[in-house]
This record gives sequence, structure tokens and C-alpha cells, in this order.
Amino acid sequence: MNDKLFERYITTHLIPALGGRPTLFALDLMGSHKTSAVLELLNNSNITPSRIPSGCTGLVQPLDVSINQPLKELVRDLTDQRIFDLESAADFESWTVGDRRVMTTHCVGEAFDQFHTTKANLISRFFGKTGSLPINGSLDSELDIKGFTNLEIGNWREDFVLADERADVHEGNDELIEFVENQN
Amino acid sequence: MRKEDRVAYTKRVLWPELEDRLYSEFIEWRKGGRTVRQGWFRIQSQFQFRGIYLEVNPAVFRFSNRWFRGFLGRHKISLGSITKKAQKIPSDYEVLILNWLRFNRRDSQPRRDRYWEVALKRPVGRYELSNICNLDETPLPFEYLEEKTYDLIEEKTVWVKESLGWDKRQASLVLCVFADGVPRVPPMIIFRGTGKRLGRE
Repeated sequence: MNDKLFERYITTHLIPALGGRPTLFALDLMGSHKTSAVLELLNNSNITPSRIPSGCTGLVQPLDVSINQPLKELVRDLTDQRIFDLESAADFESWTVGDRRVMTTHCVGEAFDQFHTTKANLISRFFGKTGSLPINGSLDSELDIKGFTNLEIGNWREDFVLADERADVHEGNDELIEFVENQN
Repeated sequence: MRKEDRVAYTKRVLWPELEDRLYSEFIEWRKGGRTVRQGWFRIQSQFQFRGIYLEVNPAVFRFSNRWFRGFLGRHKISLGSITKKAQKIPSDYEVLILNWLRFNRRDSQPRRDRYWEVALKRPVGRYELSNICNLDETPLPFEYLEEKTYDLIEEKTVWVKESLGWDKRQASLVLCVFADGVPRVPPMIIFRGTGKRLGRE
């Protein structure tokens, strides 16, 4: 998504949905998301961007943790069904790329609706598990982030100091192979 | 292999001192977070052998596959790909995540003059659940879009895929979800190269 498209998305879809209230906007900030025009737009609409640390989206981003995968499976099911129905029709001739795109768009929309109808509480539960919890800390034990146990938010007034937060996180190289000790 | 053979195979330890040393070195290296591959075992074992069995001709010890497999089996060491390391989270991530959680908590604090009014009504702070959202863009694999139903384009499709790379062929999906689970922003699909957007409905 380039910056122009992102701006348009924010203006025409996001801002009208927020009812003018202050908003916490968690996202994985990419290059095109942090142009000064975008940041100004967010600022003027009382939207606070909360940047998900790089490399951690799979752990703390609700979409990655709980939504993307089942939603895509649903899209696949719906698409398969639609293809089957259409190809079974007597007057079916052939697909064009355009047809596919239109059909996929419909299926994504339908999947998104279905997912929200059936899984709404799942979505809010995952927001809680990844950090949207009561500010008095009473439910911090609900934090549930893969790979961490007994994670405590602790003194939120202070951040841990990091020289460069990317410096210490290595991108895994899938092709490397190593020996590991088995626990059992 | 008969059962007795297998037992003999795993139990017969030719160089127990070497194996113990090698194993403890291995554990040390792994504790340091370093990657250990077969070459490491080969070099270490030959080096350690010379140090332990001073009277034995080092050529006697051959780093054979059979010995190596036995060694791995006896010490319950297995080959894992590094991708599986994702299950073991580097401690660096903990700091990053905590900082992020703290930022959110700090930012969610109600304004001082309205603290109690807000804190009692909205436990998560100054944001309503309907105003906490998460946006992300993920690839939508193109099998969704172009199934191998038609044969004519087939060849061409493969060729194009190779020359342009996945990101040119894949569509991406932009989703925005809200903490109360209410859909407010329709999903958006971005198709590459058409210059045209097809939002939902």
C-alpha cells in the first residue's frame, strides 16, 4: 500500500468510523505509513499510532495472532464453493482474471462479515490477551503472548532503554540448520 | 535390524570420555545461543580426541556417520531448523514487547482532570473499545485469484511469475479490526498493476 492509497484509506474509511473520539491505532509502521502527511492526518483526527515493534507482529498483533489465518481459510472455502457453483452452471465458459478478482473481492467481504458475526468475542478477547487491558492492572494476568510466561507490564511510566531496537533482533535465516538438544 | 543389534548399537560407546566432553561443549555453545552444525562436531571431536587420548593415534578416531548418529541418539540431540527457534523467543523481544505494552498503557491513561470519571466508566482508559483498532496488510495468495482452471494462460502465468516475483502477482489484503469486535472498516484488496481499486461493495 503506497502512501497516497494509505491516506485515502484513512480519510474515506477509517476516520468516518471513529465517531470523532480519540483512537489508539496499532499497526506495523511501514515506510509508506509514516510520511509526514500521514502522521499529520492521524494527528488532526486525534488518532494515536501505536507502532508494533518490528519482528513482534506475530506475537502481539491481534490480526496476526488470531484473525488473518482463519479469515483466509474462510475466504478459501467461500472461493472454492463459488468456483464450484459457477463452473457447474450450464452456461459456464471460462474465467478471466477480472472475473476472478471480482469474485475474490465478494468472498473476502463475505468472509469478513461472517467472521465478525460468529467470532466477535474472539476478536475482543485477543485484543485483551495482547495488551488492551484495564489500566489499573487488575487483569494483567490475562496477558497471553506466545513464548512468554508471567509477563508483567510493570512500571508503565518508564520504558526500557534501547540504543537501537533493531540492533539486537536478528532476522531468522530459514536456510540455516542447527543442532538442538531435546528436552525429553 | 534385529532388536538385539539395535540395543548393542546404541549402547556400545567406544570413546565415553570424548562423548562426555563433546556433549558438555555442545551444551555450552548452545547456551551461548550459537548455531551448531555437523562441521562443528567434526572439528571439536577431533580436537578433543587429541587432548583426551594422548596415547592413541588420532587417526583411529574416524568421524563416521554411524558414530555420529549414535552419538546424537545417545545424547538426545536432534537436528532442528532455525525457523523452529521462533518457539524460543529471544529475550530481546521481551523488552520490545514490554515497551510497546507500556506505551499503550501510558497513552491510555485518562487526562488528570477527568481521571476518576473516566477510569470508573471505562476500565481500559481514555479509549473506548470501539476506538482501539489494529490495521495490517497481508498478502493474499494468487491461487485465490487464478486457479489452474484454464490451460491457455497456464504457461504464460508461470513465466510471468518467475520474471516478476510474487509481489507483482499477489494481491494484498488490508484489514482493520476493532477491540469490540464490531466491523467498521471494510476490508480492502489491492490488486497489483491495474491502477484500480476494488473496495468491498
